Amino acid sequence: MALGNYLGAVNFLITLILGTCFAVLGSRRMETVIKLAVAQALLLAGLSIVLGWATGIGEMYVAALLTLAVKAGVIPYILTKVVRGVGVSREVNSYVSLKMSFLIAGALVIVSYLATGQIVGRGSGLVHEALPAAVAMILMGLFVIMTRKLAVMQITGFLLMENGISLAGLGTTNGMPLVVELGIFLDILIGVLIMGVLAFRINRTFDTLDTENLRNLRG
Amino acid sequence: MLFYQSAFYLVIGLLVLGGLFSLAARSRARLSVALAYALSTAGSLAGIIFGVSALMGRVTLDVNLQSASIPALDFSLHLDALSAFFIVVISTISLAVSVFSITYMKEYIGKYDVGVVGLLYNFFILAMILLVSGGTSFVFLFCWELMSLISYFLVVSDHRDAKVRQAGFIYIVMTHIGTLFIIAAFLLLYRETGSFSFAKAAALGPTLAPALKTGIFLLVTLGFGTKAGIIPLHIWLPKAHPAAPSNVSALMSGVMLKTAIYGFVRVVVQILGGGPVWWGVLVLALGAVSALLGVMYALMEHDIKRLLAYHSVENIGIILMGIGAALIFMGYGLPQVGMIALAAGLFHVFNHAVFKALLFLGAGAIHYATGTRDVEKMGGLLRRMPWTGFFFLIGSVSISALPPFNGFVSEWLTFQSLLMLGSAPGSTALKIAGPVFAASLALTGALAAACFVKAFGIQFLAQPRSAAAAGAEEVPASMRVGMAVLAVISFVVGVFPASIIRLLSPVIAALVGAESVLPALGSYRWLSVSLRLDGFSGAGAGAGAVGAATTGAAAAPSAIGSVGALSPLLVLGLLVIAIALIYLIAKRVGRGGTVRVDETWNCGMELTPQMEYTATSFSKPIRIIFRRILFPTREVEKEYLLKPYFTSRIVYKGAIKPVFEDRVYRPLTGIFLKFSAKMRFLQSGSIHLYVGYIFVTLVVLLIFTR
Repeated sequence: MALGNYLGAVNFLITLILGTCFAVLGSRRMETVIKLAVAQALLLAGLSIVLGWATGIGEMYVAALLTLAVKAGVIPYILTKVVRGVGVSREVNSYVSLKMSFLIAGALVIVSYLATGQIVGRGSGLVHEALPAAVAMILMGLFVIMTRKLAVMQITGFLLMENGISLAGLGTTNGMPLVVELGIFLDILIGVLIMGVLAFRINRTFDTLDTENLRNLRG
Repeated sequence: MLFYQSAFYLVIGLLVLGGLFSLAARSRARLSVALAYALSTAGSLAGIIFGVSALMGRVTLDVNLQSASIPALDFSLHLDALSAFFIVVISTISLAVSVFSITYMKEYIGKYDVGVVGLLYNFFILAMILLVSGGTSFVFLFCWELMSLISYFLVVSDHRDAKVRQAGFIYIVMTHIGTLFIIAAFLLLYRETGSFSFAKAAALGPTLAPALKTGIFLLVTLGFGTKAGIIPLHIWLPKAHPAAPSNVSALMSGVMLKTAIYGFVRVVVQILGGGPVWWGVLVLALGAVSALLGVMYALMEHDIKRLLAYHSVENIGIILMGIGAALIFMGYGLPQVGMIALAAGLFHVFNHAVFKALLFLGAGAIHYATGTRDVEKMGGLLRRMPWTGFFFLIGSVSISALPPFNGFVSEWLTFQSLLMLGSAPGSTALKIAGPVFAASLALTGALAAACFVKAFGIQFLAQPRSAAAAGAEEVPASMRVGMAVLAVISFVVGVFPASIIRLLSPVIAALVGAESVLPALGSYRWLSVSLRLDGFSGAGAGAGAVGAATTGAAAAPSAIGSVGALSPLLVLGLLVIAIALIYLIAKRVGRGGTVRVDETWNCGMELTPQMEYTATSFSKPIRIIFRRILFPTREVEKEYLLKPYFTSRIVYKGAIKPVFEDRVYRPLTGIFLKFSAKMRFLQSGSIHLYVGYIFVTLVVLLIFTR
C-alpha cells in the first residue's frame, strides 16, 4: 500500500503535534498559547491531507478543510476576543510548576505508549503511532485543565483533548463518516463558544479569570 | 397484514399528534385540552380495534427498526398475543379516561400548564403502548424509562405544593431502584444470549443454568415488584397516586402498574419458561401478603385516592397470586393447570384496570364537584350526584369481587387455581398451603367489601358533612360518559366473561404452549366458565365452586375432569329473581299499613351531620382486630366546661404506625446518609480537584489495562 512511502512524513507530523502540546505546557502568555493552538490545528490539517493523499480516502480532505476552518480559524478568533475583552494575558501561578509539568507530561507520554500498545495490538490501525500520541494528547489536555487556573487556559486544554480525539480518529479509522465528523466539529465549536461566554461572566463576577473562585457548588 | 400495520401506526400517529397539538395550542388552553383528549380518545379507539383484531386473527406484527451501523441499537417491535392483550387493556382504559378528561381537565386551566399536561398525557399512553410492543429489552427499557419519567412529571403537576414534590421524589427514587434491578436482569440475559431480542432470549432462556435463572428471576421480581407496588416496595404508591390529577392516577393505577406485570410475565413465563416450584411459592406468598396488608391499610385511609392506591397494592397482590399459582403448576410440569391460573391472573389484570380506573375517575369527579379528597368531609353526595354515585357503586361492587361484575369472575378463577393446589402432586405442606392462600384471598375480598361499604357509605349517603359537599353538583356529560364506559364494560365482562377469556386464549396458548385445552375455559361459549382438565380429578377443588351451576367433582377420575363451573348469567338471573321475590314478599307482608316519610327520630333534637357515622368510627372494629399488624395510635384531648360532664371541645387524633417506613426505609436511608456524609470530603467544590479525579482514574485505568 502506498501509505508506507509516507509513513516517515506522517510520523514526523505526529511528533510535531506532540511537540506543540509540550510547548503549550511550557508557555505562560495567552497569545503564545493561542498561536500554538493554531499551529497544532495546521499540523493536524496537514496530517489529514497527507493521509488522504496516501490512502485516497476523500473524507480526509473534508476533515482537513473543517480543521482549518474551525480549529485554525473560528476558535482562535473567539479565544483572542476573550483574551482581549478580559484583558488578562498572563497565567497566574498554576498548581504545578513548569518543570514538574514537563516531567509529568513526559511520564504521560510513556504511559500512553505502554498502555495503548496493548490495547490496539501491533500493526493494527492505519498509523500505529497515532493512537498512543492521541491518548497522550488527551491526557495532557486533561492535565492542563486540572492544573491551570485561568479559564482561557482550560479552554485550550479542552482543545488539546479534542485534537487528540481527532488524531485518534484519523489514525485508527479509514476515514470517519462525514456525519460523525461534522457532529464533532459542531460540538467543539459550540463548546468553545459557551466556554468563552462563561469566561467573560466569570471575569465579570469575580474580577479575575481564576477558576479557583468557583467552589461554592457542593453539598 | 396491511390492516394491522396501518391500525398500529394510526395509534402511534394519533397519540403523537395529540401530544404535539396540545403543546402547540398551549396559549389557547380550551383548544389545547380539546385537541389533546379528542386525539387520545381516537388513538385509544384505534388501539382497541388493533388489539382485539390482532388477538382474534392471531396475528403477530413485526416492525424492524434495527440500526444498521450500530447493531445493539435495536428498536424493533414485536407485537405478539401478549402485547396485543396489554394494548387492549391500555387502550380500553385510556379511551374512557380520555373521554373523561375532555371536561375534567378544564378544572385545571389556569392552575397547570394544560398544554404540557396534554403532551405528557398522550406520550404517557404512547410510551406504555410501545413498551408492551417492544421486541427487544432495549426498547423495553427505553419505554420503561420514558413512562417512568413522564409519570413523574405528571405526578408533580402541582409542584408548588411541597408535599407533592416529596411524593414525586419518593416515586422517582423507588422507580429507579426498580429499574436498576431490571437492567441488571436484562444485561445478564444479554450476556448469555448475545442479543437484546426477546425472541432469541426466549429460545435460549429455558436452557440457562439454574443458578443464573434464579438470579434473573429474583432481579425481575424485585424490579417489577417495585413498579407494581408489592409490599414492602409499595411505599411510593399511596404517596404518588393522590398527588397526580385524577385522570392520570386512573392511568397510573389502572394501567402503568400492569406494565410491570407484563414485564414479569414476559421474562419469567415466556423467556425463562418458568422454574422450580419455590419461585411460584415466593410469588404467591408475596401476592398474598400484598393483598392482605394492602386492603388493611386501605381500610384505615380517609383520603379517597390514597385508599384507592392501597387497593391497587391489594389487587396487584391478587394478580400475583394467580401468576404464582401458575408458576407452581409449571414447576410441577402441569402447564395445562398452570394455564388456568395464568389466565386468572391476566384476566384480573384487565378487570382491575377497568374497575380501578372507574373508581379513580369517580374520585376525580367527586373532587371536581366538592374540591376535597377527604371522605370525612363528604356525605349525601348520592342525591346531588346520582350518576357519579351509581358508577362509583358499580366500581365498588366490582372491586369487592361480588357478582354480577367483572372482579368476581377473575377472583373466582384465582380461587379455583389456589384450591387446585390442594390436589396437585407435591409436598403436603404445599397442599395445605393452597387452601390457606385461598382463605387469605377470601379474607382480602371480605375486607375490600368492608372498605367499600365505608367508602361508598360515608361519601354518598346520609347528610353532607361540609359546605363543599352540600353544594356539590353532578359533573358534566363527558365525565359521566367516561365513567359509564368503564361501568358498562365491568358489567358486560362480569356477565359474559368468555368475551375476555377468548381474547386471552391465544395469549395463554403462546405462553404455555397448551393450545387445545383453553376452549374448555369457556365451554358453553358465552354463557359460562368451566374448568375442564385432562387427567385431573379435582377431588377437593369442586367443593369450592361458588357458581350456581357447580357440577362438582367428577365421580371417577375421567379423562377430562370438570373441576368447577360458573355461569355468571345464571348468577345474575338468580340475583334478579331473589330481589324480585324479596320485594314481592315484603310488599305482601307489609300490605295494609301506611307509609310515612319523615326525618329520622333523634330524641327530639335536630339532626346534624356530626351525629353521623364517620369513616374512622366505621373502621374502628377492624382497626382493633388487626391492631397487632396495624399498630394504631390515638390521642384524645378534652377541654371541659365543667368536669367531667360538660365538654367544650374534643380533639381526636388517630394514626396508623407506618411500619415499613419506620422499620425498613428509615434505617436504610439513615445508613445511606451516614455513608454519604463520610464521603462528603471528596466533594470540595474545586473544579480542578474534580478534573484531577477524572485524570487520575484515566491514568490508573490505562496502566491497569496493561
